[in-house]
Order: sequence, then C-alpha cells, then structure tokens
Amino acid sequence: MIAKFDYHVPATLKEACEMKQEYGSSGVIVAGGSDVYAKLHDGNHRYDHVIDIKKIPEMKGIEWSEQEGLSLGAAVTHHEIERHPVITERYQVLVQGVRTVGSLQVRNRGTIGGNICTAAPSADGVGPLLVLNSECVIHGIGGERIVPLAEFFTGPKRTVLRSDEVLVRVRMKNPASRYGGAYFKYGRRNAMEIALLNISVYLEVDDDNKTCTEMRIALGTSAPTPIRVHKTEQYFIGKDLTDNEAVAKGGDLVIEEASPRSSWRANSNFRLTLLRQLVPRTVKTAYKSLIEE
Amino acid sequence: MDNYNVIGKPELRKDSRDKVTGATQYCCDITLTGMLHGAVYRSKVPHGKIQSVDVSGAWEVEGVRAVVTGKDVPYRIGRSIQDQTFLAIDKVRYQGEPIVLVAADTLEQAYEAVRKVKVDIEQLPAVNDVLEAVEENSPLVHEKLEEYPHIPTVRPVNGTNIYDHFTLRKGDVEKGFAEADVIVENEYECAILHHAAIENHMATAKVDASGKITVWSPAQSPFYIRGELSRALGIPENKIRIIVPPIGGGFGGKLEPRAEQLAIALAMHTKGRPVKVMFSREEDFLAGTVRAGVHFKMKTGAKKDGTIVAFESTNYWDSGAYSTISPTVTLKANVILAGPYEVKNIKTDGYCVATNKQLGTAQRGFGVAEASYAHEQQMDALAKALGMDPLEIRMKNIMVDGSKASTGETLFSVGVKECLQEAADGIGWKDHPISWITKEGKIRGRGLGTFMKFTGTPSYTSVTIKFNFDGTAIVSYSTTELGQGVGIVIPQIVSEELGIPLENISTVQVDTENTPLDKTTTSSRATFHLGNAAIKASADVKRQICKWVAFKWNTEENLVKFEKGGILVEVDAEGTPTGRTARMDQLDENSLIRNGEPILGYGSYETTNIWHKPDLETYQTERLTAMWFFGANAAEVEIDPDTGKTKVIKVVAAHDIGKALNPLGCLQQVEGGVVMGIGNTLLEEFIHRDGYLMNGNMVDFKIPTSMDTDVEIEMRLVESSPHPEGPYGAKGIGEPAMCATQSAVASAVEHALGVPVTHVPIKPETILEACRKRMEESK
Repeated sequence: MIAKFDYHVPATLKEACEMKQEYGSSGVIVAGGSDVYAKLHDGNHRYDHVIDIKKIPEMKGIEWSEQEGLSLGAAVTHHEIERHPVITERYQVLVQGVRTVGSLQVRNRGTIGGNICTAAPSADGVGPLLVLNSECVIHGIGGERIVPLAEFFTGPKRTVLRSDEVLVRVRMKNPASRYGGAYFKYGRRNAMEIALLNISVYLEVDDDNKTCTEMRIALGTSAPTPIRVHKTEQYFIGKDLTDNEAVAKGGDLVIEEASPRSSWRANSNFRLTLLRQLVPRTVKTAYKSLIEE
Repeated sequence: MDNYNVIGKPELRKDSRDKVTGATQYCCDITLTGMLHGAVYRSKVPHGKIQSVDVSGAWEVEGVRAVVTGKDVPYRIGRSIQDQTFLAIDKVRYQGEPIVLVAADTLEQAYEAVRKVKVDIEQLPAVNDVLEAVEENSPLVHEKLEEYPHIPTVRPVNGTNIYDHFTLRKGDVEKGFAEADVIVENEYECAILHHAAIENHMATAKVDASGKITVWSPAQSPFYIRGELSRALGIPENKIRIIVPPIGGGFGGKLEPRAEQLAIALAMHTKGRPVKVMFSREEDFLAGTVRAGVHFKMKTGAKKDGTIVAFESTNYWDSGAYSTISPTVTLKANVILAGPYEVKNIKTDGYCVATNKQLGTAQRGFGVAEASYAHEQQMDALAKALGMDPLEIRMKNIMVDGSKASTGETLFSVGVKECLQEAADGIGWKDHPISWITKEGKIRGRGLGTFMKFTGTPSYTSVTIKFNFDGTAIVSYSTTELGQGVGIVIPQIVSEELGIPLENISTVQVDTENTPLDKTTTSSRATFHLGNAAIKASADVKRQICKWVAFKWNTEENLVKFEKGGILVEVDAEGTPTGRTARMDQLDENSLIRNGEPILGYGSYETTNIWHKPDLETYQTERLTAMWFFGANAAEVEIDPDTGKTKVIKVVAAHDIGKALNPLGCLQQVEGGVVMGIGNTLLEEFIHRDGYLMNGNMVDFKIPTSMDTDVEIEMRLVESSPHPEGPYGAKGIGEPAMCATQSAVASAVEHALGVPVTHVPIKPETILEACRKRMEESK
C-alpha cells in the first residue's frame, strides 16, 4: 500500500522548479504515475511530496513544423504520440517504440517525459528518440538549457537534471525525406513487458538505394543507460546494406560496444548473443522499410 | 441422437453479464458497519529464529484496535500434517510468513502500525533446492516433523525435510527392465508456479459474543476450510459460518485457508467488530500459494516393437515451507506418472519435500500437467530410441476399455485412444513431418501430449431445490463458481429434468449455514457429482409435485405422470391418458400449487461405496476413483533461431468428455486451459535466490497477456465413451483442459530442436544453443 504523501499541482514551471528544489529527496515529480506509483506500491519507497506537473502548459502538447521539426511536451502520453498523424507518418520508429510500452491503459497514462526521466536502461521511448538525435529542453530556477538526449543520462536512474530542474520538452529535427527506421523489443511476452533488450535503428542510403550514408543505432538494457553505438554506426557508413555478410558483421562489432549486465532476469552472455543476432536483423528491417516505402 | 431440450446445448453463463459490466460484488467490495482493517507484518527473510517481537510502536499509532502475535493464536492448521500456525511463533520458514497482525480503523493506520513493528530474527541458512533438501546434511525446515499430528496416509520421514514418501508398486520392474530391448532414462524439472488469480486472497471475519465466527471469503471449498478451522480452533463446525461471495478465480490456490485465519485471529481480539484482511498482490505472491516445483527421474523400458514393459520414477516435489495438501499432489502425479499407457510393471517413489519457499498446494491438474510433460518426453525419447513415429508408439501402448491402470484396477469408459487420434488428425500429423524449417528460416515442430487423471474419491455432495408456485426453481449447493461454469451446468440439468425454462432457475450464494454439504470444489468433480445430486433432487421435486397435483385432481398419486418437457398427465388405471394435463410453468394459473405444501427437493451423491482403499505400500486397489479423465493435445510451435523464442501456432485439444452438457462451457474451459498451459510451458516460473523470491510481481512473473493468446485452438470433444455413472454420461473438463497442453508444446519443441526438453518453462536462453545446432545441421 502506498504511504501517505502531500500532493502538489504546480501551475507554472517556476512553481514546479521551486517545489522540486524545496522538497529534494523527499519529493518526486509525477506525470502519468505509471513508474512512480508502481514503485511506491512495494512499500520500500516513500515520498512525502508528489509534484504533479501535468497542469503546466509548457509541458503539454505536440508541436510540429516543416522548419522546426517535432517538439513533444514532457507530459505528452505515449498514446498521444502513437496516434498523432504527422508522427505516424514521419517518425515511424518513434511510434514503433512507444507502442510497445506496457499496455494501452499504461500508454494512456504514461508520458514520454516520464519515460526519459525515469532513466531506465530499458525505456522503449528513449532509443527511437536517440536515433532521431533528440534534445531535451530543461527548465530550472535560473532559466532554460538545452541538453542532447544522448548526454542526458549519467547512470542507471540518474540524469543531468539538477535539484531544481525539470524536463519540459523533447524536440528533434525532421528526419530525412527518405530514411529507414526500425525498433525491435526483446521481451518474453507481447505486452506489459520491460525490454530485456531493445534496438532502435535509423538509416539513410545513397541514390543507389544500397549504400549506407547515415546509420544511427541505439541500444536499451545493453549498458547502464540507453546508448548509441557510434563505432558500429561508423562501420556501416559506405556499406552495401543488401550484403548480408556485411550487415551481419555489424552484429559482431556491436557487442564490443555493449556492456549488458547479468541479473536473474538474463545473463550478460545471453543478451550479447541476442544483440549479435538482432542488431543486423533490425538494420535489415529498417532498410526494408525504406526500400518498400 | 439424444433427445434433450437443454442438455448438450451451448448456454451462456448466468454470471457473465454482471461480471463483464462490473456489477458483481466480490469479497473486496464487502464493507460492514464498524469494520476494521487488518494488515500483516511479514517475515522479510526466508528462514530464521524469531528472537524478539516488539509491537509497542504499533499500539502508538492512532486508530489501532488490536495487535496480535503468534503466541496469542497458537492454533495449528494443515490438511495433511498440522505443521503450520496462524502466525509464526518461534521460527519463520518462508519470506512473507505472517508474524504480527494489526487491526485499525483505517487501512492506512493499519499499514502505518505494521511499519512500527520490530521483529528481530536470527537468520538461518535457507533450504533453497529440492534435491539439496533431501541430502543428509541439509538444514531442516522443520526440526521435529514427526511431532506434528498427521493423517495416516501421509508418511513423514523423521529427521529429514520429507513431508511424505509415496510409493506405488505394480508387477516387478526388475523383471520388466530385464525384458526390455531399450531403456531410456532422463530427468525433468518443472518450476514453481503461482496461481495468479485476478483476485488476491482476502477475508472478512466477525466473532460474536457467543464465540461464533462468521467469515466472508473467496473460499474455493468452504466446508473444507470450515473443517480445518474448526479443528485448529477446537470449536465445533456449527460455530463457524463461511459465506462465499463471487470468487475472482481460484485455480486450486483458494483451497487453502490463507487470509481466513488471519482475519479470524484479529476478529477474536476486536470485541465483535468485523475485520477485513486483504492481501496485496505482493503478499499474494509471497504468502498465497503456489504450484510446487518438481524434479523427476524417469526410466522407461520397451520391447523392439514399442511395447512398454517397465516404468520407474523417483521424484521430488518442492512443496515449500508448509505441507498443506501437497502430499496429495505428489500422490496424484505418481499414480499416473507412466501416462495413459498400459504398463505391466511400475515402481514410483514420490517425495514431498520441505524447503524455505512459498507453500505448494493444489493447482488445476494436481500434479498431472507436470507428470504429463515428463511422461510424454519419455514417450518421445522412446520413439527416438526405437526409430518409431511418436504417434505410433503412443498408439501401441494407449489404454482402452479393460486396460489395467498403475493401481492394478481394470478401467472402463476409456476414450483416450480416440482423443489421441483426434488430436493427431487435427494437427495434420500424417501429412506433415514432425519438424521443418520455414522459408523465413523459423523452425517448426509438432508434438503430442496425453494425460490421465482421477477425481478425488471418496467424495460427497448434495443439492436442494426449492420449487416455487410460479414455476421457477431456486437451486442450492455448495460447490463454488470459480469460473468453471457450475452455475450454468447445474441449472441446465434442473431445467432438463423439471421441464422448466433455464431462465426460471436461479442459484444461491454458497454459505455453509444455508447451502447443503459439499466436500470440495476441486478435482474437476462438480458436473459429475453435483450433476448426479441435481438429477436426484429434481426427481424428488417431481415426486412431490405429482403428489400434490394428484391431491388437487382428486386422484391417486401414481396416476399422475411426469412427462418430458414438464407436462403432468393424468392416466387411468390402465395407463391411458384421461386428457387432463398441466404444465409445470402453469401450475399456479391452474390453482394447482399455491397454498400447498412447500416443495423442497433434495438429492445427494457420494462415492464411498465404489471406492476401495488402496494399499499404502503398493497403491494397488480394485477401484481408486469415481471417474478417470483422459485426453490428448497436439501442438505446433515455431521457434525463432535468432531469439530462441517459441510461439505456439496451434493447439488441438481432444477430450474424453463422455457427454458435453454445455459445449460452450467446455470451449471456455479448453481455451482458458490451453492459454494457461502455454503460460506454464513458456513463461511462468518463480525465481528464488537463497529462498528469496526475485520476481513476485505481475511484471516479472509472466502470465500470458491477451496479446499473447493469438494461438489457434481447436477443441474436439470425444463422446464415444460416456461414463455409466455420470449425469447423461458426462465426465469433468476443468483440469483436463490444461493437463496435456504443456506436454504437447514441450513435445513439439523437442521435435523442432531434436533435443529433450529437460526443464519447463522452456526458456529462450536454453534453446538458443539447440537452435543454432539444428540450423547448422540442416545447412
């Protein structure tokens, strides 16, 4: 049972930042609550103050323009993202990722900002945002700063957010007019599942429709934080993506960059074996999505 | 074709609409005036000596009305061995064992008080592994097992962790193996599983000034729990009343009292105020009940032509910290461990073993799904060793009418051969190889699974029917509705027998004070036992109606005949209809029944007379059970060699149903059973480290979600072997529905990979390696 707490609903960013600063470790920011309240249920975690940021205007809504690209409020739910017409058309990889979060009920509550700020290595929304080169808009008492999502995580459940800071929006430029994207989640079942492993791929090819000109790969639950695997990405540049052997070799390289841990859920060798098989597969799926467009 | 009006027709359950719309009121919805809320301080460690219990902090919390420790309620429970107290007193034996109870005005206060309880425990090494538990130098979960009272059929082994050693001896296995041309020996393991019913364990209890106890709980078998509590508390059964609101799923897990004794313990200290105790999901995982894990050692010998000549097994059941009804699970699995195959020589030794883990108890199948997985792996191993087709070797040995069971008894009403053939036909056995690789590079396999199971005997139940003047009837019985559909099948029977419409029949909430005696809701017994009692009760109603109508018509009782469809016909002395008739649903309009004697029919059914007590050493007997169940599943699976993941494509479930009284109910049981079986085989397991449960939550203990159920399920009901003693020939389907899914899926995986499946659940890790080997071989 959840222990009693004071429930605060700041109306402005300033209020939220001040509350977060004031309550420190006895407080927690909540949006959808699908992580926070679930954690409180186990009885080992307690917060005296829960700060609900859902009413703050800057944290709401999805904005998109041809010039600026996409901007997601931190309090935007997964389900809002998966049904947004522009996102489903131009940011398919993101839709693929958020669509695997929990269940429809969870996606109706859970937010993209929460998915990022919980900073779980397994977050389904984060990998796609990483390969879309997203950046975070952060607000503190002193003002605003922008941090690339790739630099947002400092460790498992740890982020660059300071004691007075909240994530306001996450934004990204439009992807190339032709690109391939794919998200692969490895779990034991098809819903209500925390990824044992996840892979996000974004790629572009030359006019020959084969030669890779851009490759971005993000891995979840393969390191203490969600990561990009830059060496493997670099390897793919200039490679013929129809060459199965060349693509397969990417799997051999990626395990050099990954450092999954062993736990009772799965041992590290198993995760590495999967990565070796599934990174090339996900690259192929992304490539196929581009070709079949 | 049989000539029934209601029997054999698909009928929707009467409780569906309320359950789907949320109108049903479950135990958690109960609120009584003055009710207090209970909370439980539970052991955080799996094994340890309690040094001190300090509850002073709990008393300081506002609203606290009672704090109860083990010494306050030193009552012992245990169906087989009385090894468990309501609360731990000197020692804790599993993580989550209750130590202190608190009742307060609000739930928040009760939880707050529990947080203030201080218990000092000296930790002891946990007995974590069932095979280590039976080693000589293992720490003991119970130091003095032999000192607990136990039922005579259970044989604890003094100075060990063995709750019970079950033995079965048929023929001479030494001789049998000497005759064998081939012998296969393997070991198999099943993980501990949780029932994971939607509704957690909970109870609300009240103790009145005379000491009478009333409990509202989702008790699967209220009379069983009443008996347990009566013995434990040393008060007569008539001083305990158990009321059973609609139950949110049981699967065997609600056979044992879990929350009931805790709510009672508190209510004994609240001066008449009722107390409600609801387990959280986390508590339900730790301190509810589980299906025991098991380690089988199996040895099977056969002739060159496939005839099995000997079977031997030693098996160890990881039954956890207290024995509950686990010895019966061990027993039931051992009796059918050679499968539905006629084997002349059988020797099994089943050990029911204590560990510092969650409490093993009944789960849908009572050990048969686990046994079926193991005996079917043995059949596949034999087929391979002999170069025979897996279907052929099964057919060669399959039981038929007149076969001798492991108990030595001669079987009748055996439809398993037809089931096996139906399952094989449904999966296209003869048209396809047992394994192949798809053009997408996935490995497919097909497999077969059979099972046999018996219903608990001797047993008893009873039904009363109150017939109203308006032609409606109210049926009372104490078999609970767990989702199995008893609440529609019994009205169907009464409707058929009395010739009144199904919608005219209602049922009564189970309540040990108002509904008639029933042994238990387990063992797939309801349709068979209760159905027979309902037919008798209906006959009693008909007799009374004929008598009353005869009185009104001013004729002799024997001259009023009850005809099919609920027509009463007057005949003359020669038996010729006089032309005077009445309809059952129009008795009131015709002033035939109002103001008359109350019409209250009753019927009972019990199986003491057909049961022959088995010999405890050999388990040989003339007749063990009222009813044997048989069936077969066939499965097709697809394995992804990159991920090691297995997907079940199709399951054909053929069941020796005797007579399907409600085919829709059968389908619902089978669909649920197949999905549950798939979950058991591919997903579910308790993971322990040193007695600590790692995955006691709904995220990490993976039952299938609705997104994991896209499997094609084909049900085939075999009605060629009606049971001569069953209502209309019917047998049970509740547990059978899932008993052969695990074995068929495991068999399909075995065939896909070409290596035995030695552990369920089948994990991707363990099959990745086999996959790769298989792919390389096929290149």
